[in-house]
Amino acid sequence: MDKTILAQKLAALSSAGDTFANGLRVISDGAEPPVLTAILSEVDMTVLPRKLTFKMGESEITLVAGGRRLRGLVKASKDIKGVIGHLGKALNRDDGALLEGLRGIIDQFSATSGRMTVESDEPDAMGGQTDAGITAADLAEIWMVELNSAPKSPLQQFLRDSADLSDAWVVMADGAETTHHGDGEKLNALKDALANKWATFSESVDQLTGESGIIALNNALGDQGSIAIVKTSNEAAVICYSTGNMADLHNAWSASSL
Amino acid sequence: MATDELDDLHSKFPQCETLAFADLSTEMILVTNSAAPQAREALDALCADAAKSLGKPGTPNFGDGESDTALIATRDQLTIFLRADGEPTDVLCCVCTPDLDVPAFLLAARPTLQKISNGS
Repeated sequence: MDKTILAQKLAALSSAGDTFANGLRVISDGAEPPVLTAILSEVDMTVLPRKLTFKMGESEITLVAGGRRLRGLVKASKDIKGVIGHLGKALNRDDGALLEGLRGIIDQFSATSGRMTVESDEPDAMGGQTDAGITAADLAEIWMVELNSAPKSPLQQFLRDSADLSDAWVVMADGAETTHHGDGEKLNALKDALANKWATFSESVDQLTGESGIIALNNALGDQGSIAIVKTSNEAAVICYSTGNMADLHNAWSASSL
Repeated sequence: MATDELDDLHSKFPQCETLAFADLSTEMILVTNSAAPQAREALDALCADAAKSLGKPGTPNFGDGESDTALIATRDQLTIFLRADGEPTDVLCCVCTPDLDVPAFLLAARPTLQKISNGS
């Protein structure tokens, strides 16, 4: 295995930043990491045969993985169409229609909004087929997905953990945007405000004298909501939030390790 | 009296050591709670911070909306600025410890500000 990939896997395994919702591990906020990347990353870290149930909102799909291979689909919620012909069928590289169909099923699933959780159980089907399936790395190549994304910064982890409290955000480092996320209209309003008012707002940010801090301005975006900035020693996130979430956002920052 | 209103709020929220009523148009602190420990220079700086954070009327600090509440937190200190409804130059500046119950404080502080702003 490539040393870089090995280092990324060790970092992921030793991460203390896992979050949970109703006892289930959250592996994506719906956008970051992308749902398909998050699913393949789980497959890539599954050595012993496991049944992995991924849930987003009311939708769910259950896959069997083992040996770092995705063996197949064993269950899906009723809102996902075209499932019947795929249930219990072992994936193989030569069956392009099966691969394409599964990708379509995952695309339907990932169109659901919200956080994605994963639950791991003993498999009750497809568990004994030790050489069945396709490796996560090969699937990433076939489906053109970046499997090994860079580890998240503490600030990006904070944004993921508090995703329910924000509508959009832009992360900046060294005065330039590094990443963004969120509702299109609010994200545009946020970017407009950044372009037009950053000079004056940065004077306020200077009030944050420590390494970490948060400023929240209720109703600063008018109809589009409110703005907060969360600063660390080397990054800043400008967040659009609903006015009623100010205290919760502050609480989330207080409880974070930033 | 305004001082009594601020002292009453301070007694309910002792984590808020300084409560100061200010006028953003002149950038002056007009009255504080009796036990406020800040020197005059620090109060002037606090008022200047309120103007920077909330923005003066008609010139929002960030975005196009006129913000009525600003919260500035570090690991050591929590500062809250509230703008009065109907009198956008009247603000309440609050310097607190980080363990303040923010939702409860906001519920109590806004009526206090309105009373002082309305002169009632």
